[in-house]
Amino acid sequence: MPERQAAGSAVPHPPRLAHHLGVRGWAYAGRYPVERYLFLLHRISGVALILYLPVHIWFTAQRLAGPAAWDATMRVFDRPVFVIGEFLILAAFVFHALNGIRLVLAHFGVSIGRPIVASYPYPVALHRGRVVMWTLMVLAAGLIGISAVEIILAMLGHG
Amino acid sequence: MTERGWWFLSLVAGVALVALLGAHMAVQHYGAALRALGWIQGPPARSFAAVTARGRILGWAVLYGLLLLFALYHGLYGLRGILLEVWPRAARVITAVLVIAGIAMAVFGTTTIMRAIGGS
Repeated sequence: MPERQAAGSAVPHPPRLAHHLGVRGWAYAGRYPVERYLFLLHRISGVALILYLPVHIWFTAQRLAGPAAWDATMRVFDRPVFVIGEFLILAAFVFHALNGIRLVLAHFGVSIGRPIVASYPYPVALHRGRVVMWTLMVLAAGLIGISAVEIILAMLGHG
Repeated sequence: MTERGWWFLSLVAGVALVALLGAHMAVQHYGAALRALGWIQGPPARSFAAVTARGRILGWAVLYGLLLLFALYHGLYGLRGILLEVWPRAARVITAVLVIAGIAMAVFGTTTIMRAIGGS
């Protein structure tokens, strides 16, 4: 007898099986493939971006208070800790966007192929999407690298 | 709208954000590279002059407005999904809090964009 049942559904919902590792299960994924860890990074980068958004909305409103208020706000963001923080936000966006493209493509079956009758040795849909996945991840690494070079040059006074 | 509809809307917002936030990030974080290519000119993107100039251009204002709304929706919808995994029984409270927070931020951000167009 199931402990509880999904509302409006005749299908029993096994709560312990669906979420038996709890929040711990987000980080520890056992011997799952690399895509499982991209899921974890997607989640971390997404949370970082949505937590940063209210701060961004607030400080960009400072421009309405005039050039002095704006420049004072920007001076705060020129401190190394904020420069690194902003770089991490940029990196989070680049990764989240490119991994998101992979997820949307997979959602519509573009990169993983059509469903086929399973016969041994069983094909793994993730393997068919590996080329797309690695292409997007290399592109993400390249874009993050270019931004890192820009920041280093700016800190050295060449930007 | 059904949960499926909200999910699909989040996908649409996500795809739009790749372009909108990509344009915003390009101007803000790839200035030196874009200048070297001759694609952008003028004062640094973060200077008060450049920020107010962009804010008065209708195209940029529309881009920022759409960016704000799509980012809030996509981000808060994703956050809701994570929170519901941890506290599934608090679904109504979590949804209500996030909707109120989203509306508040949307109103504040949109007001900033509108006032910037007027040059105040």
